[in-house]
Amino acid sequence: MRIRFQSDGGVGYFPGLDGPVIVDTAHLPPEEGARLERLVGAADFFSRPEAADVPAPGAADLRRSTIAIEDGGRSRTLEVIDPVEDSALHALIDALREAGKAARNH
Amino acid sequence: MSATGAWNLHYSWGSTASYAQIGITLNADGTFTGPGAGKWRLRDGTLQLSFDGGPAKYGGTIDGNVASGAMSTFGGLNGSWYLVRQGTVGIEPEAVEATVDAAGNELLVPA
Amino acid sequence: MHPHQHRHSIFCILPPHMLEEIARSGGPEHREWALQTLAVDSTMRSERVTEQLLRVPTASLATPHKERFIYTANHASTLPGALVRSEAQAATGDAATDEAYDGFGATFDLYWSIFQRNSIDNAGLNLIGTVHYGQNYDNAFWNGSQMVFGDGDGTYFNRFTASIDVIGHELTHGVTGHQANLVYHDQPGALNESVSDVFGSLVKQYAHAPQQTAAQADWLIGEGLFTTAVNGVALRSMKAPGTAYDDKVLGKDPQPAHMSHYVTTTSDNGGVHINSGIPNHAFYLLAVALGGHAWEKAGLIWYTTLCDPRLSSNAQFQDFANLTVDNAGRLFGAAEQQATIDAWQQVGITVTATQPKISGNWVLHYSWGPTQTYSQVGLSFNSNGTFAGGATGKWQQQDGTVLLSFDGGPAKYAGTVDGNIGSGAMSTFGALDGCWYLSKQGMVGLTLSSAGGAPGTIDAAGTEHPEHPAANDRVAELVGAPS
Repeated sequence: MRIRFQSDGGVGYFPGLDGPVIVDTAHLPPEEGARLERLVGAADFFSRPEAADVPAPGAADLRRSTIAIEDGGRSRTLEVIDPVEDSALHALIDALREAGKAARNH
Repeated sequence: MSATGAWNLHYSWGSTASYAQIGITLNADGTFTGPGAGKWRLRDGTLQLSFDGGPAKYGGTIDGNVASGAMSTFGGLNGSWYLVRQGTVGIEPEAVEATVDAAGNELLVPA
Repeated sequence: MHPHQHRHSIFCILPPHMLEEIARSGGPEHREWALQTLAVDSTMRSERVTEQLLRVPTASLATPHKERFIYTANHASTLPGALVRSEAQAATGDAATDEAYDGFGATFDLYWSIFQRNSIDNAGLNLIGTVHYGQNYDNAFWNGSQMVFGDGDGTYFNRFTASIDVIGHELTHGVTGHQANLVYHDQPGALNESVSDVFGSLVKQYAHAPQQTAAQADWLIGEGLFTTAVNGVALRSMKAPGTAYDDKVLGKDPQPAHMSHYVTTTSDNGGVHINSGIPNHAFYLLAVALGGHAWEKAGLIWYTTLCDPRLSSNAQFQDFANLTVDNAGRLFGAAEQQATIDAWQQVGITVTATQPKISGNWVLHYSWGPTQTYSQVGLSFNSNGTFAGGATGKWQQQDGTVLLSFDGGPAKYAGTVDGNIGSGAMSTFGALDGCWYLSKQGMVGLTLSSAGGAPGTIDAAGTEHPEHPAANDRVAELVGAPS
């Protein structure tokens, strides 16, 4: 499963967290890869309609998360904006964001 | 201080970068003559001009051979002016065609 | 001068003081009608009132409405969540809840005490916040109607309620939304962000015990949000943009302090959190230059500009700067205006200010002859080129030269005005010449002489009043009508 994750916005702009996080679960340690795939499944990712959220009027410091996943023959891109009320999707975004931070910490 | 004598009045309605000029002579009796005629008053450093042929009123300060200030018709036209005593060297006026004369009258044909 | 607008008929028959009351405390539609009616009312008094009403939103005449509601999302992401603390309830012991509650209060207090603004919408809007949003959510945001706070990830970020200026920052997005509504991208978005940093910082300085002057403040935004694992002190620095952090994971603070380093990017909505460093720095420079508490002068100039109807939602830095300079002159004077010009110049934005025009209440002292004796008349200068009061007429000003024309007589005045004093000469270009000086009302140290317009004198307009007035004139004097 190949995942491309991009986060934009937030109360502060951090150049280190701006770039895309690209993950291939096959190349991760088995536990981590399995965890991510589980989160993608729990979020029912491939059943969601491809859509881009629009921010509410007057909203500020929101985060916009773009997740593109390719798995086998399936692919899907979602663009979601805070608040991401779906807890499973929220958990997936958190995990991808943490993966991005961890990758920079080598 | 005396303001009597021959002067060049440079005036710019709308306070743009373009000034039209006329030569006027300030007479000792409080009148001035030239292409426009009228009355002038000097109180210490404050100079005032009133044109007989139009609504414009000029007011400003005079120091030696140069004076400057503002003018208004109090009816929609406002601008800036300066006076240079004739014979003063170092100031090169460029002639500009006026669309409103010094007295505040609109001209059908540029002066 | 005032365009003809359709007015609700009832407002035509209401006197100005009732229109003012409606303008102040009526609903939005009524307020608009009342203001339109006042605008076409030609009396000087209502014009002055209208000008004040239009310039800065007036707070409700009722007491300020501070009403806070703090919810918890319980680490889920549904808003608003469960109510955990409402207004006047005691502290709960949960740090995030109580910090949000206190931060809301401090923000409300700054806006009310200093700017007479009654909550975010100037109409007592409830202040709503949700804490414990998400799991390891390292952000806080304004969703358009409430604040949302994460707990941080614990590795790089602490909880987001820990920084009172971040709370002020977010709530100020609400204020901006109700005022200029600066669009959230590119330069207007960076202005939106900067305004939030400015007032967030003012909340922090105002709430500090003791309150901080501009010189004492650290001008850091989001101090305390980073854990010790991060090589940085805050999200941003208004004092030294670009120096807040330099970290392996987060990167280096990208903020510029000068227009020459403006960042053109598609990230971050066109760099709204990046280029905000430029107007942030301008505010810091101005606040320090003016001294004292930053909210007294610099803050008021910025707040007035945020509420200024001339500030469009698409304003560029230059537009905002131009208005701050104009408002600095109107609110305070030439020195503050020059300081504002200088502050913007230092961040690479040039503003050319025109000298503020004469305005407000003055006393005209005039002496025909001239003699040693000056008479006085009170004049009120309107922004539309007329004056009224003891006499009526028109005025024009070009830089420092002022010209006056009176409705009631032939006199023409000319002279110069500097700050609170003007002087010059007047003439009827007939028989009368004289001298005059103008002093701003409220000046101390000037002596008064006799009043003008009495029988046997010439008034300011150059009209003679007979020694022995006719019967009609005497009656007019007794009843106080102008003769």
